[in-house]
Amino acid sequence: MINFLYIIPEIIIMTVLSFVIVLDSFFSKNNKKISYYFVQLSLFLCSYYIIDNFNFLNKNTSNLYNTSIFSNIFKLFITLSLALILHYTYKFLQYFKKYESEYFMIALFALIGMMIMVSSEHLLLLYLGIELLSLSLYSLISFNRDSIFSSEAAIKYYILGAIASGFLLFGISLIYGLTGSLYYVEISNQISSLNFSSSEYTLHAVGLIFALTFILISLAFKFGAAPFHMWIPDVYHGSLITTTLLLSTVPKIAVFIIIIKIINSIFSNLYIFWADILFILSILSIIVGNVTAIVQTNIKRMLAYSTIANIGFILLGIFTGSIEGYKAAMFYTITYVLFTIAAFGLLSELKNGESPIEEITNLSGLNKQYPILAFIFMLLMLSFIGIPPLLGFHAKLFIIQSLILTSNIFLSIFAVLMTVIGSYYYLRVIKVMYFDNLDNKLSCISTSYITYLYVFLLVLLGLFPDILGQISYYSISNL
Amino acid sequence: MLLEYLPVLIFLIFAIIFAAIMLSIGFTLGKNNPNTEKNSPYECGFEAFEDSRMKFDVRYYLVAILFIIFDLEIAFLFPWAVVVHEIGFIGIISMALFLLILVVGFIYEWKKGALEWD
Repeated sequence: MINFLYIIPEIIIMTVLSFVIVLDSFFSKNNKKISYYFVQLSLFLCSYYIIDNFNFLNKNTSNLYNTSIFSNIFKLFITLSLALILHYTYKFLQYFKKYESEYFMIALFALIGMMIMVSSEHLLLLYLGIELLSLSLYSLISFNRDSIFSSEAAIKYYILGAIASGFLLFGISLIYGLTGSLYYVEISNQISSLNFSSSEYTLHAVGLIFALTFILISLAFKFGAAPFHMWIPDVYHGSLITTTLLLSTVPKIAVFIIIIKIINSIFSNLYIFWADILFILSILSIIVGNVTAIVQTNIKRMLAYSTIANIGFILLGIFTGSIEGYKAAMFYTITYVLFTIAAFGLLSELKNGESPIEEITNLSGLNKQYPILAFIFMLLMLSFIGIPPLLGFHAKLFIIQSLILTSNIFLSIFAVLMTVIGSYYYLRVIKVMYFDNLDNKLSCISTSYITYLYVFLLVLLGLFPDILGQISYYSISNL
Repeated sequence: MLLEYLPVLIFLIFAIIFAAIMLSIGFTLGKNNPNTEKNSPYECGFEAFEDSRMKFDVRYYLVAILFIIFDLEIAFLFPWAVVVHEIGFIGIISMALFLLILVVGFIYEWKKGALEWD
């Protein structure tokens, strides 16, 4: 029997969601925003229960649904990030008169999907989580249905996402055929009992490599690594800026955890095979992301390519296959997500005339009108480049350190060179904000103190990177 | 190892032979007098070859999609009903929760006016 106490956070989200769906349809048009507050309430309630049960949840011994410290830290992180993202989304949608309570409900469905992904110890459960997340994201992307780009992006993502899910299922079915189980633990035991030097391993090994390749391709697709990145620019471009913010942050954490879990617990014995795949994926992602971002004029497309480049760095960390590498990758993911939320949250609070910010040139002269916002945005961009006192520096440093520790000297030189190339398009944004003429159409929807506080905390976190380092080390060693 | 799959192989061979026999009996012994109506392709109430840009009532598709959701629920209820005496109390609770969530969806679609024909 399942002990339901272990899934209290998920139950809370699901219960509140059911209530809000029913209540919302009885609210009048002016009272719809109450639903948003209910959603936020459920997020905080959920994070309270995760913190409250930290030690208790760790005692869960189920090999179907894992609630270890590792997954709890990430559930907490995902929930709080989502709360912040929804705050920006709410303001944005309110201002542009696009508010629908359904947006926030679907975001909660996505959250449940991500929680299942983080906790699952069973391949079918993993598939369930991925699909729940993807289906929610398809609807969120097509939310702005007056825009033809939005519908195009949603259909594109839907078709490609369905193909990727098919790949994942094919890989899972191969694994089931070869090992007779879908539990991570049992598959891992089966694989480690294989003797790779004997002559009869060939059939098994070929099948396993097939399965590994298919699963990794599908996850690379969901993650957005280079040869499978085609959907990212169009989807980011087509959706609302706050949807882009949601798409480019929290799902990436969930997919990152899946990759690290699958690689570390199922395929840890097949290091020689997946290291090659990850090597190619990361090198291609870094090159494609950094080089293509240079020519982008749309800020969402620029973010899309910068996401691809950052994912390349994360995969470089995983590629090393060492604890240091995993820790560095996790540190990098968290940093990337924190800073992307800040940068795009801030962008969603600006407007160009009566429309949201689209082009980089829309930001010209931001410094003359809103010096504080320009300064904050400069700090965030500098962190993306990796300038010392900020968190982005430490993230890149840890990745390069882990590469050197595993004696991948040339790769680390490559990473540094690519960082230099990548700094161009971040610096260009700073140049546009500080040295170009003021665009009179630029104005601010609302100045929120949450942004100031949040960025202040991020800068503080950059001064004491050990806090985040300890957290990522602790959670990796409790994997 | 591979020997375990022998029944599958036997099954496959038997299926192929059996299907071939059935089809050939139909071809050889059946009456065959075709006419244009019989040979023309047929597709779900639409003419098969005509302009694809024609008007149709979109509500029909909405109702059809909503029907499928509640139809699939039956697909869960049948196997559940077969084993309900074995899974006991926890099974009943699970199905109650499942139906409750379904009812939430139903209330939502009702209030949104998806069931109104006009």
